[in-house]
Amino acid sequence: MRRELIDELLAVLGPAGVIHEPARLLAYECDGLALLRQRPAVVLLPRSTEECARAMRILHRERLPVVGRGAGTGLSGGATPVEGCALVGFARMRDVLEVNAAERYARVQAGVVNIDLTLAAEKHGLFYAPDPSSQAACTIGGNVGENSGGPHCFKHGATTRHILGLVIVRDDGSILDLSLPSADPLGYDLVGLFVGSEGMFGLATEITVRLVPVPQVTETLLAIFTDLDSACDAVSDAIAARLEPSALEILDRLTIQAVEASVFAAGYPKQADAVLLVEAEGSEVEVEATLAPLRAIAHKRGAIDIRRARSAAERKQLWAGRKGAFGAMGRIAPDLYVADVVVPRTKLRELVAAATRIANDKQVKLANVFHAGDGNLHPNISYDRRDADEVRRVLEASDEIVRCVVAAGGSLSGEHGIGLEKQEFMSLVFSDGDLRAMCDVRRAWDPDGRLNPGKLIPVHVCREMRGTERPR
Amino acid sequence: MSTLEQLEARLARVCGSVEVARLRTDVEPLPMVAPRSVEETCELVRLAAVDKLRVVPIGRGSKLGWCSTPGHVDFALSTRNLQRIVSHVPDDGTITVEAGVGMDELSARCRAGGHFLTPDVPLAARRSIGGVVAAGESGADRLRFGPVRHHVLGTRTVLANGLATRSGGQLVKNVTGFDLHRLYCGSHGTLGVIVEVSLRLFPEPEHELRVTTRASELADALSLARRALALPARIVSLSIERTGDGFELAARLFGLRDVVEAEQAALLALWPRANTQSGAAARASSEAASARQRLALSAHPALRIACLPLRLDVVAPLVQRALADARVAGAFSLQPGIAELDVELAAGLSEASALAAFLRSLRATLARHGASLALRNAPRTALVELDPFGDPASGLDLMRSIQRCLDPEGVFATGRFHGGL
Ligand SMILES: Cc1cc2nc3c(=O)[nH]c(=O)nc-3n(C[C@H](O)[C@H](O)[C@H](O)COP(=O)(O)OP(=O)(O)OC[C@H]3O[C@@H](n4cnc5c(N)ncnc54)[C@H](O)[C@@H]3O)c2cc1C
Ligand SMILES: Cc1cc2nc3c(=O)[nH]c(=O)nc-3n(C[C@H](O)[C@H](O)[C@H](O)COP(=O)(O)OP(=O)(O)OC[C@H]3O[C@@H](n4cnc5c(N)ncnc54)[C@H](O)[C@@H]3O)c2cc1C
Repeated sequence: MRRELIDELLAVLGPAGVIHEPARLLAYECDGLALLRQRPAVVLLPRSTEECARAMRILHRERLPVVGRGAGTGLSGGATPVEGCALVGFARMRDVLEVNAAERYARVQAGVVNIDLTLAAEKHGLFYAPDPSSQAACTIGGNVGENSGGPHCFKHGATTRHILGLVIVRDDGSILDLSLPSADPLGYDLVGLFVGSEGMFGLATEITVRLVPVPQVTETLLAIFTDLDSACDAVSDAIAARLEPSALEILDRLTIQAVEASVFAAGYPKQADAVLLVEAEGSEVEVEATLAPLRAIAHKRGAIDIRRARSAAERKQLWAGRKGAFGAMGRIAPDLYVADVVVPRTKLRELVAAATRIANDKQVKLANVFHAGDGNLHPNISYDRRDADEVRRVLEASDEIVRCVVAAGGSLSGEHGIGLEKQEFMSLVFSDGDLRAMCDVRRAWDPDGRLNPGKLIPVHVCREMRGTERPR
Repeated sequence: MSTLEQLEARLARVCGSVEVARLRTDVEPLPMVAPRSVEETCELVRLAAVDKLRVVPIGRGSKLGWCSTPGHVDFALSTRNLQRIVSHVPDDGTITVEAGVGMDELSARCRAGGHFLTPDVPLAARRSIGGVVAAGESGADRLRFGPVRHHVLGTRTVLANGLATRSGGQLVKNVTGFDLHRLYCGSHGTLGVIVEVSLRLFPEPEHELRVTTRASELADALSLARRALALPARIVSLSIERTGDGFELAARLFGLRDVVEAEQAALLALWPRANTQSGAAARASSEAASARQRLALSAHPALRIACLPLRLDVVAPLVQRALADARVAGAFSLQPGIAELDVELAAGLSEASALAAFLRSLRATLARHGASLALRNAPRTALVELDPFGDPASGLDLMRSIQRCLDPEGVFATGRFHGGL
């Protein structure tokens, strides 16, 4: 990058706000999808909306591509830099600006870490419901970018249902203030449209989120199964019985073993083939009325034991195992390919079994840990990226799993997004006409196609987007 | 043949017959077509694009008066013949239907599958799901379930280029692609014709109650409402309505029997002299007795005022005073949990300029409390003086540019919505 340009950016952002030394840029080469890497030209770390806007004006003048980055925990390559881009990170925008307990909302800067928002709200008897397993690291801005989910989104809904307002810095550095809280959008629902736009519409700098009251009672159960099929059937039955717990999560044998061997050990029985983690919340009556039929379903489906967390500490431990599961997989192999697809909840058993069959065919190690209540599967594959043949088989297996799920009426992603990972699969679910409409709307936000170019839309559809060089 | 007759003949060739629609009582009638399939819908939109005609999409036409009158329109395109249930998977809790399906039929269908359909709107038989989604209309049950746009899983929409395009899907969780369906929800047909909608469903309640009480002053009613809302109960809807001699509060409770009974007990402890109705009687009176229903039927101008929940405690008395000062009579109904206030201007302010002056001043007062005011069924004469939706929202330029990008030739009628969108 030209020295004068760096100096100009330094004048706006200060020395801590501009990273341009090649060695330091290495840390920003990839997000959680470590298979794809590209070094950015520069990393910018603004401290405020105003600073971000001023920097974006310079980048606009220079016609540089821009990629937004929260914590870089995304798993679909959303924050993977594109060649020659400025990566705009939110690591220095970590302030909780306001918690309005009476009206139940909070305003935060985009770089606030998910768990920090929950902790800030907890003091007021409230919480922020979307709880990705990565919540100790991921940012609210990144959650907005991907429309992230989490175990408790089964009851409370994904990020989009919790975003009340946004301040957005546009491609040209102008500031769009959509933060005025109102029950319904005035005009088109720009906020709803923005959530899940994967950094391709603008950069969210401030976010107003809805908070919900901490429930009176929370109960957590662990149902233990001797086969994965039965655990899946129990969840399908629970959905068919119209039950409304707050979370329904399944972990399979390989995941349980990895968790139990790690620091996240939660006391899951190592010999079980699957565990079903169930949580219900509400009044005492409500929790009991929800859990009693669930217990009956689990027994009917052959659960050999149903344990109940007797204290907050036990509950926390059960969840630590679930939330640490991806990390714990590091014990099985150095790398993990986290897949993310959604299936109709009537077909859980069938499609989990299909994924297992595909993995066996390709001789790769598959471990399942997933948001079963929402039909959101994570058939994760452990591998070693130094083994080129294994990498090939991993990609073939995940490709086949996606195709099989789509053929059965499923979708490409439930929460991790499309990014670079699934871009070329988009044509499996959308026609060129559908995708062109998406391009048209993107053009209204970002006429030059400079924001996170070359992501989400398959290359053949959106040729008008510039800078679409895919990182190798 | 006159130009109009020529147009009618061409439209009839695509979809069989042409009727006449009156979008409002005070505007000229228009040719109206009701395509029998998505393909016919596409063909009609293509015809309009080629011939540079302007189209206004409508559902059952129940509430067109609530949107501004569009400028020039050549024909109305109604979804009323798009009546297919595309897929219903009760055990996955989802349904996909064509846009013309009536809300009554849709909710009966969902109930048969063991589900409750939100939004629960009054006069369901007169509304189409496409119209409800296009108007972004949430029911009073939004207190429990949230706004309708949160439950639209996906849409199929015919855009100005005549293509039926999909966004989202039929699954309860999905982040594949940009959420254009969020854009179409509440866009009042200014971006395209919604032809198919997929929805998330909720469990059909095992038990249902309606608990009511009375208060003589608005302030007392508001305070009773706040105490009910502070209960750890998942109240479905809570309304306060002005009656002849005071105010009636009504709370709707439903769900599992034990839970509902516990919630009822808690509510009865807070509300003096409360009455309870249960089951079908509760359901019927929640609907029929509500001022929302009367308002939905009314042809008088009406105001919808919205703000942050707690601000309503200040805003509602203020509006009440302003109405009294201006000697306006009509239904007065509020939803304290979701901070909506509906006011019917049934008598008083009959002069358009007096109405406009009243609204301008009320709007200015409300703005100081962060409240917005929209005017429905506005007389045409008043519209000349005032935007029924109030100040243009921030982001209006972007909204216009979205409109231009999706509909560069202006096939769909504009000038009907916020800031002339
Ligand atoms: C161990 C592990 C567990 C995970 N578990 C879950 C889970 O349970 N549920 C789930 O949904 N995801 C999960 N994820 C994925 C990931 O954590 C989420 O996608 C998260 O929201 C990403 O946040 P981030 O701050 O890391 O964003 P990044 O990865 O930095 O960015 C994500 C996307 O958002 C864009 N973006 C970032 N900030 C902004 C902004 N301010 N404005 C506009 N766009 C922006 C980026 O350009 C990119 O496209 C998991 C990841 C890991 C590694
Ligand atoms: C601003 C506004 C707020 C409203 N709020 C309430 C409320 O709070 N409570 C209440 O009871 N009612 C409300 N309504 C009435 C609401 O419009 C009707 O309940 C519902 O839309 C009627 O369905 P319909 O089939 O008769 O639609 P119509 O009355 O025919 O159409 C409603 C609107 O949607 C558009 N439209 C209809 N179908 C489609 C389609 N398939 N594709 C694209 N656009 C379409 C029309 O152009 C029109 O703008 C409101 C209406 C408006 C305009």
